[in-house]
Amino acid sequence: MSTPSQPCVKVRVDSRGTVSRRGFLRWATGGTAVLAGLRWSDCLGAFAGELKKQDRACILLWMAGGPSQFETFDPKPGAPTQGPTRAIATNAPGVQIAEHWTNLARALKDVAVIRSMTSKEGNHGRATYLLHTSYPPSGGIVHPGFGSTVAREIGPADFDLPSFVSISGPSVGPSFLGVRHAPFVVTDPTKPPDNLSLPVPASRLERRLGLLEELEAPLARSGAASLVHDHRTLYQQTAQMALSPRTRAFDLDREPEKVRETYGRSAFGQGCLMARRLVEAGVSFVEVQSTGWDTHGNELPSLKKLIPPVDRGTAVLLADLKERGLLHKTLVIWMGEFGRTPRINLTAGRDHYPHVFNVALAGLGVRGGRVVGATDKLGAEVVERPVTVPDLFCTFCRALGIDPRKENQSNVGRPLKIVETGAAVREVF
Amino acid sequence: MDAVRRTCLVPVSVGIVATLLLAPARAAQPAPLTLPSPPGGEGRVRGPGERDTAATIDAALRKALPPGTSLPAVADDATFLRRVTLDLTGRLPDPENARRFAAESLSDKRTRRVEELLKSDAYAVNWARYWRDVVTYHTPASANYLRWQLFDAWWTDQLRRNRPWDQVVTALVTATGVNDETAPVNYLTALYGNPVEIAATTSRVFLGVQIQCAQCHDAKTEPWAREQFHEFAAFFGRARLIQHKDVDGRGTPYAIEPRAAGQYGMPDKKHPDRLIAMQPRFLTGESVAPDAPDPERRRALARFLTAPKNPWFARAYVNRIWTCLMGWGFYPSVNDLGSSVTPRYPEVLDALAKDWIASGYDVKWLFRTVTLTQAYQRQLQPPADDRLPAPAVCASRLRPEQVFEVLQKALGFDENDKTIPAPAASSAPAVQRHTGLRNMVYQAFKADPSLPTQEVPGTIPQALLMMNSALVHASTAAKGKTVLADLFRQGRTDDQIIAALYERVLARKPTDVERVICLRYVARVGDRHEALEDVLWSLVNSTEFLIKK
Repeated sequence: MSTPSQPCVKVRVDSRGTVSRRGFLRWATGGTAVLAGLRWSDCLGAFAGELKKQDRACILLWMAGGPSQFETFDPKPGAPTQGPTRAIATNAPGVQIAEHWTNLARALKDVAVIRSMTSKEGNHGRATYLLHTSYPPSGGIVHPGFGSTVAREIGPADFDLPSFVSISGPSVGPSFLGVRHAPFVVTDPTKPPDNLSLPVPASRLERRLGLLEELEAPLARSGAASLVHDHRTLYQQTAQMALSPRTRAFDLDREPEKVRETYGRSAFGQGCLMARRLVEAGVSFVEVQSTGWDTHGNELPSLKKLIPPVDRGTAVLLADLKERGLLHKTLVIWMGEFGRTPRINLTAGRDHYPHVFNVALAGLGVRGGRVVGATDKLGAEVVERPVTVPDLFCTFCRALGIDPRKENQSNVGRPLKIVETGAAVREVF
Repeated sequence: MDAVRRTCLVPVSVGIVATLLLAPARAAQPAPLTLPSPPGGEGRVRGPGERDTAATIDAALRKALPPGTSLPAVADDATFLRRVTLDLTGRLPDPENARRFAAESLSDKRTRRVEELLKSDAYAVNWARYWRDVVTYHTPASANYLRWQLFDAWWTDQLRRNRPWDQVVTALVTATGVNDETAPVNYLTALYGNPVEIAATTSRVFLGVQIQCAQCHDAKTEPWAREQFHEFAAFFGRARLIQHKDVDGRGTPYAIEPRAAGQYGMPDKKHPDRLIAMQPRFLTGESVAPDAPDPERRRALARFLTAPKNPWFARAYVNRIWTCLMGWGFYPSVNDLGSSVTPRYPEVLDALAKDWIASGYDVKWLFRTVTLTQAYQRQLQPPADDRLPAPAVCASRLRPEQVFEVLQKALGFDENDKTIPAPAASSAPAVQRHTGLRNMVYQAFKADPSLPTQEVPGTIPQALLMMNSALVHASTAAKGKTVLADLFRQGRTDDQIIAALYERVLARKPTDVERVICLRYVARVGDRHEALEDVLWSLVNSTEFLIKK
């Protein structure tokens, strides 16, 4: 561990093949005297004595709005709560899922399903926070999103892309883990991220950054040290990224037409393709969002539109990762913020139901074709192996080789565990 | 700073003692402020003058610090002018104006400048943008629910007229009508007319009370019972959201209209499908009858909210504006004046809140008072973390539209220049706030204005925009219709150009060290056009450019 008095010198030895640039080194080391004594928590990554766990990644397929368990992974054929959606067989013996998920049904022997998720947060904002942080929102503490945690825990310190990318939505931020671990948001996966290409030659950008660094020193000494430090960290990270050949991972035009077609020409499908490219390039955590699952009214027509692109994107992603030898290194999570009511309401929809919901997992040691937990005949109560949100996050941590009880210094001056309570669901491994 | 650090425990413990002494029976509730009784009954009392209150505040701040604590020196004119111009108008002072200000020798020139700024339209626009973002930041509402331009214009008008804050809040919570005609009703339609959302936002923004946690369960860290949240929500229980038909291309605007009967219900914990009817009851205990019609309910709520004896209303507003101006708050979060948080300098907050109530909730009065304090006019101090903040300003990031204003002022581009590409994220908030270049900058820099500045991280897309965008690239060029090209055309020397760029971008002269760094850089690069483009680029990409200090 470093001590606060050590200057933060970035060691630019790139373990993943990019040659470090002399100009950059000059710039990065030119102002170390200014950095000495500044806030040091952000610098720890570069100093950490432990070897970062590499070659592991996580893709979160986020179903914003809260998908119905009845119309996804826990259909209740014949029950009065089920409605007209039928159940279909899968390639996992004895496991049925809801119709319309035809592609995923053929991939289910790679997927473990938890049917017994349960929580108490039935408000979108609060539940989204819970299912991204493992903590319910509570007063003064702002918890880091899991993407930021993974970026910090397994993202290599010398990596030149952001270790956390969120596609088609903003995800949850890094809080006290710092801007280095913030999600880089790609709003539209079919277009390259804005302003990523340089308007001047790289050597000139480096020269400019050197001048900027020199000019910033006096401000850092006059009461704005932490802002200058954050600004510098951000520019360092941004320049590194803009100069990296790895930014090609964002360019889907480099994929064969056929591959792009296979993933489906939907925002979600193309997002899954970008996720695969990013994981291949070494990004540690990618979130791909799908919106519209908040089906309060008239749910069947909505679901008929919602499911096919997600079914296809998810199934093709799993197959593609497998074919490229990446699935055993990548944890794929499919989930939303809660489930939906057993009761079908007067407008033919289902309302928020955190009491029961489903999560699907694949890759990275997860034993496919398994079903964990069970609900009663009506799908209203968990009757076997309830799994809480902290249990779920311990499970993620276990797959990714992260210690869930590891403490990080929080914004309110007390250390905070990555996950406070719960235990990993061993049945999925 | 060392003096403050050494003795930080003293003032903090004083704060705790003060809170304990003032604590009423219910711990969640700070003591009401003791106010002078109005002479002659009716009509507002004119409170103390701004100058008097500013002096009281400075004295109280000093008193809270250990004797002998050294205070930061007064900031120079250029620093003060940039600071106060950004705070009040969201813009940079122009160089000509700054030079005149520096040359003035009148002892009350800072006071007079504050007055001028408060009279400007830019003041109304700047604070209207702030409040509009405060109350609508979290809603994903689409344009039919939030007639954004109308709402924006309404806010500007309230600030321009200096409408008292109690009246502004009353207008928002009691608004009725269609949202493309009645501007303030957009506050309610943007929250889908949902009593739960409206109660949570109203409580958080206008009272600094985080009662929404009690929506589902009795709050753990606050003594709010679940019923109390739902009793609050019940004030909005007979306000109904109605979608209007598309007439004459209006789209389908939404309206808030009274519902004749019915009660707001709290979901039964054991049987969530069952609702328990709630009587509207305010946090301080006042209630209205269960059969009160909608207008009466919401008018009563507005009275309870804005009553001088409501312990939160004035404190929440004063804490918020102080936080905006000083870069730190009496309470660390403008959203949370909860009982688990000990305010810093509680006696200062109370003195300021009390005099502000006496001013008749006069919005400009508070801006005047705070900017007139010595505390506001001192040199920048680093944030205090756990310690008691020094009585001086801490740096804070500019808000999204302030970033656009300073960028435009510094680089002199035309906001409506269609030749510059303006790619912008099209994500939430759902209502398109702006178009073109302003939209690009707004989307990249948007952040919840209620978050402490330390918790608003800079993002890679922001840095990419400043570093690489066509906008910054084209307008920092030494060729074409740009600021830099003009300076070259006027035949200025390198030294003169550097000075002019500093004045234009950072609203101050370069220091000798900075001049030397820049001149050496020009010499090293060789091509003075290219080198001075780089200087301008560096100034625009500096931390200083994007903060208020």
